[in-house]
Amino acid sequence: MSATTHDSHGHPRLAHHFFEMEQQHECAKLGMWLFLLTEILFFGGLFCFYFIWRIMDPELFVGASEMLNWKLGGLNTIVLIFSSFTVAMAIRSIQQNKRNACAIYLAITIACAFVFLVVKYFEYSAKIGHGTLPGTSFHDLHFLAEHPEVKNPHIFFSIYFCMTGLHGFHVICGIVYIAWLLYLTLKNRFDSEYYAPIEMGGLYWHLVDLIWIYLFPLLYLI
Amino acid sequence: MSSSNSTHDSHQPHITPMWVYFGVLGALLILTVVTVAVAQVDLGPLNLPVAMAVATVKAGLVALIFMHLVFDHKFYIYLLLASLVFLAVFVIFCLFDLTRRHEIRHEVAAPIHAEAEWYKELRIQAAGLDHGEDHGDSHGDLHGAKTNAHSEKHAPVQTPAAPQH
Amino acid sequence: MSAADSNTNYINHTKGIMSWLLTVDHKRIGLMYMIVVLSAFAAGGFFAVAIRLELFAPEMQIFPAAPTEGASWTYNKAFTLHGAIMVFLFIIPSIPAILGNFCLPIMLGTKDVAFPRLNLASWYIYMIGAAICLYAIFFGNSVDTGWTFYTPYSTSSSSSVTMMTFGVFVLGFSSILTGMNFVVTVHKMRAPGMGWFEMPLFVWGIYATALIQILATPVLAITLLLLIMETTFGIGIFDPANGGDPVLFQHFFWFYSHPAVYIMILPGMAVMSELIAVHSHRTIFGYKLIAYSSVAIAFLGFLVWGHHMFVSGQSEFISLLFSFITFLIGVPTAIKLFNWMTTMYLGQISWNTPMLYALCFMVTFTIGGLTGVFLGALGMDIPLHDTYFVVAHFHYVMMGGTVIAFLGGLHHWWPKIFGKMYSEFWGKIGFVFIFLGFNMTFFSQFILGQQGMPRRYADYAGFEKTQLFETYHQFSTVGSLILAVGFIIILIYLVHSLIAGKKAPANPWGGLSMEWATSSPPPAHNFLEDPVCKHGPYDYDKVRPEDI
Repeated sequence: MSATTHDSHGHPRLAHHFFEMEQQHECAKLGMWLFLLTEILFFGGLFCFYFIWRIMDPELFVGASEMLNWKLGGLNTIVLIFSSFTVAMAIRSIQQNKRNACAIYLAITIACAFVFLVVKYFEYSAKIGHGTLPGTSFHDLHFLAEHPEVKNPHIFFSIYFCMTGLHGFHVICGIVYIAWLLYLTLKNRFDSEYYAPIEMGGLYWHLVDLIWIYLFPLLYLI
Repeated sequence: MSSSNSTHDSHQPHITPMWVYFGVLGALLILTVVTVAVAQVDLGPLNLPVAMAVATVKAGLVALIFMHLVFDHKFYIYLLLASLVFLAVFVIFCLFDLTRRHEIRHEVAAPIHAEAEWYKELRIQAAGLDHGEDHGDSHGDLHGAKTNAHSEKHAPVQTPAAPQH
Repeated sequence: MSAADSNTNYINHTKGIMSWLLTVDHKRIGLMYMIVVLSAFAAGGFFAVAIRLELFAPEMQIFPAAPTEGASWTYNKAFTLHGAIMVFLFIIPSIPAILGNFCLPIMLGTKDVAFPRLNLASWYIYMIGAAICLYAIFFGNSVDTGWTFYTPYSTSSSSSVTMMTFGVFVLGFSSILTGMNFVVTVHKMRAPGMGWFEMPLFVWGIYATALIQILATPVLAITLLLLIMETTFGIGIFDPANGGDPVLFQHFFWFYSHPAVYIMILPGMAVMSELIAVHSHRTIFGYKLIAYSSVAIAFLGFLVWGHHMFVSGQSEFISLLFSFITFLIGVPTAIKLFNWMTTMYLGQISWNTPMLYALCFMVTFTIGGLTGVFLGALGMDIPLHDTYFVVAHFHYVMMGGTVIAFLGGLHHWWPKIFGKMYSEFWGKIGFVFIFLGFNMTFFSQFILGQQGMPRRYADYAGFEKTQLFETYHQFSTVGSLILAVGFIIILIYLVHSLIAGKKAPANPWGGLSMEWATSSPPPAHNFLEDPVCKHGPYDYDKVRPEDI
């Protein structure tokens, strides 16, 4: 603890087992990237589910995706892309010690996330209202009447609800984490030397955006 | 420690110029429009690859610029690519099995092509719906279908269990 | 430099239960893992003995003959719990979480892992996962699907599959977080002067393991989540009654669980490299080859999962591919074995207990590995699939490999962990029991399987060869009891050493890696002054152990 090498880099946020801030920052970044790796493979199982059925039974996807409103999906894409931009700007601001700008950008990000969830809520409630549900609870008779050629349509909606549900869960986690970052920013915990938590939050949020970038054409636009 | 210093030796982090971020935002929005526009055109078997290609360009922009992969140590790009390689192995091997499973022995574990048993009853109900209210427009009979379906909701859920064991 | 003689160390520098439960010290977390993981081992061993006693004679002995209404314990539940507990609660966390947590940061010359609080969080997540599994076992309806949870039985079984899989789902996150921590520690926390090829081979092995944990475990998580969704909502992915494909579940499951086999064995190989080099007092032969072969095994391990599914009805084309890649895995494994043997050649071997375990590993693991090549061959696998041959094979690999290496590692680092020497005499006695008991238990099962005894049968009366089966089963059961006695002997003398053992010197075996340069047990932050790496971990030709 009292080793002499530490004194020249003393920063109140430097943990005891690191030599210097840069090492701490690099550790956090590598750790976050490894976490993102696990996230990609976690969603990967669902993408595998998707591609197998898409290739085994393309009719199912052509027919069932008509039930999704691509305008709402597109709106959500734009909202998420914009929030990705704002979170990148938040990191840029804190790198230049502009705490207020950083707080504003973080707040806009959270607002965008809420807009995303509200749109998602309307989409989900429409599905639930029509009985277009995943799995054995599927009972959308209208769909069956209009698309007699589509086999097992519940599987498409299983995929839709699993993928967007897991993605939505990540959006909620992101809101909680970014709100915490916003709180800490307002309490002046970050500066241009110590902003690793904001950068990690940013990486996470970009990943959430990345996954949606794929989900949008795969689910809505077939 | 030794590997991290090679790209930039100072402690100053890379600050991306403002115009780069605005440029990427603009590009992403334009590409979103392209995604939608491309989907309106039927390219046959190319539909999926083209949609994925556009999405990948967008994802690449986000990863390279917003996530700073371009400015960081190359190791992070390798990490990201490694995860995609393993994911590809997973998906491709599974697909390889499912698409070619019954080529030698047709009777063994063929991929499921049949519709689940419990659709039979739903199909009958749907057919009845079609005949009974043929003249109404689709929004008009929506309400009736919903209530109708609700009362029948539990029946189809039970059916799959029975033939299973 | 010999470590300063000081009576404060990581065990006694703070006191009280909370100083342990809230600790972020990797050494204490390693010890906490040791307590719970070894308890899980005891529980799994209890079920193993129950299974062996049931199989002592052909008819039903201790479990109810038919699953009558309300019968809480059936044979199927016993072997499921044996498998699930041993795999998810014991073997996967055993070497990485106990020995890895303790040794890895010290070997790298750093004060702690990169994320100490995350390390503690992994322990708590492990405990939560274990608690959910225990709840499913004792307050739910237990599990009778086998540890693999194959569909469609798992989606229709009346046992608590959902709860149990959720427990395993949680355990997976503990494994992922530990892996992340180790990878970052290896990349960013090495002592000044320590390059990639100055790291001990134990670190290389744990590093390769951690890579698999990060890449494979998320797929297990999503698989179990989808299984839970299938059971609850009938989403139609795995259950044929809902339009799903049950073989797809096996793909999903083995995409994790085959690499998980390497999560289990790579740390064993990592321990082996240390044991062989230190107790032969000789520079390890082919350092880079051993290091790279760990990574090669980790990578190839992802491409072979289909060899578990040769008779499941998967495409014959992909079976061919999987079979071919399975043979390839033999190459890096053999590279390691030959390098270890060459290291021993002309070395000055000390016949300490850890070295005995190392030799045992080389025998039993080779048998396990070679029988794995039999099973990887498409034609051979058809008659041997789901017989006791498979059971014997994976016990030779998992137990003859990982558990033996774990015992060797435990004896090797015991003086470092607790600062006490165990009785070398009783160590050797315990080893003899383990070696004899293990081989009696499982070698007979190769013959059983080759003769056609199917696995997972509780009652083998009425076969043409029942009498033959009975003989080998009795042999196996007696062996398992000897094995159990061996474990009890080890437990007794290790605990005894804590109370009355001699004080351990800093470097009892004459090792050169950094953990031997600090006192036994190490001080709270591992080293009294920040260490600098001045020589390789196996430079026996350049450095004397007294001088480190």
